[in-house]
Amino acid sequence: MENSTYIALSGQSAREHQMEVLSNNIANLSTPGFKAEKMMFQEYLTKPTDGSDPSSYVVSQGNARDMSQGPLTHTGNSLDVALNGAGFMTVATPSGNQYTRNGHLQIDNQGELVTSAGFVVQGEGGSPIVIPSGTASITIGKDGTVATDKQTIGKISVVNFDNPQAMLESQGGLFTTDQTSTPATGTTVEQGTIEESNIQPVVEMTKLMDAAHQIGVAKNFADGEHTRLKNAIDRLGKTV
Amino acid sequence: MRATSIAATGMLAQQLNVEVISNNIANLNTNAFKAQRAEFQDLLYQDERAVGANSSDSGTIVPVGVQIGTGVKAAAVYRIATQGNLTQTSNPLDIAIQGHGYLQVQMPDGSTSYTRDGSLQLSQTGQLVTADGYTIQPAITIPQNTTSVTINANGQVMAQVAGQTAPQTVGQLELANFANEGGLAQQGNNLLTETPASGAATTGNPGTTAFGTIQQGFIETSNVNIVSEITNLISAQRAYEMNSKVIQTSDQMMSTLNQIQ
Repeated sequence: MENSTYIALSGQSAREHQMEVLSNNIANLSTPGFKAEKMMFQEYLTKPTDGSDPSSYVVSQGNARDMSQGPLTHTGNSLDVALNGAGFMTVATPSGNQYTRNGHLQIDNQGELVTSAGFVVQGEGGSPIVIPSGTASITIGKDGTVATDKQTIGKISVVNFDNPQAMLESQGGLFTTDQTSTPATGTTVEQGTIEESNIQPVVEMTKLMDAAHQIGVAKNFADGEHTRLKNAIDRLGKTV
Repeated sequence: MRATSIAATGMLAQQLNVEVISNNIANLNTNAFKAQRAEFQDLLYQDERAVGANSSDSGTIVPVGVQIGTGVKAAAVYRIATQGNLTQTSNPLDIAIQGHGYLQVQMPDGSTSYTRDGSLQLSQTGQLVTADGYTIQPAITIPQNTTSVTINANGQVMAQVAGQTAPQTVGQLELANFANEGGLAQQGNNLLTETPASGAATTGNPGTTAFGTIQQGFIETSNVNIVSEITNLISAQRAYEMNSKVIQTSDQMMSTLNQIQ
């Protein structure tokens, strides 16, 4: 009997979920390599056994990641690299290989090329890229080849997956997946630049307004339903 | 509602961003200052519906899951180690390093610090010291009655003493280099110190492989690019506003929910 109230509630929970995704996008506005997420909802129909019409609820079904390219910002730092095109760099973490597009690289105390979290960036063939001590300058070519002023020392491997949507996000701009990687084609490595997040503030802010508005609509609906039930009880309960 | 706390992490991050930018702008005219940049990372994700889970007995899987992020955190504040502009001062004891390398400075406690600020001075004993009076290593003493000092590109210091015909070599400047310059710790007063992340210092003469050359009569200015700092400041301010708007909106949503009869 109170189905309609619960339908409004399902709408409100869905909007609250969306609000969380939107606020995470906006909080990560300046996170390099961050990809915007979009909440997707689907209808859930009840299966009444008494032959009445089914009720329709809304449930959150998944979040789709917008894998489009973020804008490239010039930093002039020789170890900042941005991937222009699809793909990820492979980094070795204690829990196995993970993938990232955040190319703010560093050299650790062993001379290995690492991410800002200290995970080793893998070169082609899975070996780390070691910068010899006494290096005066580092050049990273568009194909990922890393060269010092004296010699070529390795190549950053850029890989891609059949279904990047199915990759899981872990923290720190890292993605995990158990799909098999294939070398990315047509992706260039840009030295001295950083890929900013691909968040479009206007889109996020309008969705935010929309979510707030929709929750108000659901509230009005629940209120109306409450009044209707109250009136029904009042009238039916009158003994005269 | 998680949205409020997620937006709060966003505001904190942008606050740090503004702090880093304001320090860059404050040091616009600091000799050899290197601009800094705050780097952010996304926080943990909560899996509400796992991607790849079976969606039916016949083996179909969920193609996209529900992963809710929990905000943002500051990952690092790092220096941008590009060369600053060289400004001519014509002061014979002003030197700029063109390329890689740091001057070694002996601190009063005996430890060594590193600097690229080459506005050198003479101590009362004629030693080359920094503006704070700390000795440059290896120690170089300029003899009394010196009429002019010449420092060449390879760091040789020559003094022309009154009454002598040829200038005499009085010392050789040395530079130190690190595998990871970004790992040096900042100590204030234009000084940096070695850390495990920077690696041990390798020393060498200016102009040799991997070391920069010395330019006498020049000072390296900061590498702060004021246009990009102001642009970053504007976008940080707007991002801060947007996060505060998220908090307002989620507050409004909660207030709407509280009013349900």
